[in-house]
Amino acid sequence: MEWLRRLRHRTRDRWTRPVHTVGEEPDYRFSLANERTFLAWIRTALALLAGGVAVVQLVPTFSIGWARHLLGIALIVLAIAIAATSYARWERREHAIRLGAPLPPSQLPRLTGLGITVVMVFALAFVLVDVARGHR
Amino acid sequence: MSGPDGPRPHPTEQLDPGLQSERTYLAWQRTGLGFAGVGALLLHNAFDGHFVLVIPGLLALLAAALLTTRAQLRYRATVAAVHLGRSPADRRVVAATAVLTTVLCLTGLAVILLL
Repeated sequence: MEWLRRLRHRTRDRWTRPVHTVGEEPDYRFSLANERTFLAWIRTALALLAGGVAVVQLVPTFSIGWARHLLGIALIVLAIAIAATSYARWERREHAIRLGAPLPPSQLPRLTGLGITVVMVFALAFVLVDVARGHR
Repeated sequence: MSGPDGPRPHPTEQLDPGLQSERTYLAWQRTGLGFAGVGALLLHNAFDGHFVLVIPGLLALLAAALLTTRAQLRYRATVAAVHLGRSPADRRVVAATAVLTTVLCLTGLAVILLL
């Protein structure tokens, strides 16, 4: 049962240990910049959420019935992906800053760019279909 | 006013030419306003007949109130920490914000799927 005790100890450590115990006190400006980057991602998630809700609730129907829901769900799923990973990203970077290590790479900018591009292409396609069918 | 750790710094004190703590304070304010915007959008739609939207709407407005009021306290704490040579990083505030945003996004998705 030794391994179980050690595992429990480690998980408890991970949650109770403040970020402050790893490495050394960094330049506070780096920590604040990391915090602002975290907040910028949170705002991005909020904007995507607002866009997703608005496209379903405020935009008039396309001739393709499910078009608004497809766009809205895609936007909100992207928002969830950003919001759910935001804390881990902040902590990883805080660790790296404290250890003086290079910042860990992140796939999120690529994923966000790709996701928004796909949504925009679909939105354009839906509008063009409407125009071709003389829907409006 | 003087505490055990020395004089308490004035919150508007300039710490560096980059005004890092003030910019961070403003970033918290902006994020709070973002929550308020989402809350207003959800409540606006709630009054158009989709009453389920009241729940995420109020959640977002609550988050907005929490963030904008906490921002001021956080600013003071940051200035104090920097003066004492400590790191201003606070994982609980960051974790709480991340959880609130994730929950709000999830309720947003649920609401869209239900309507």
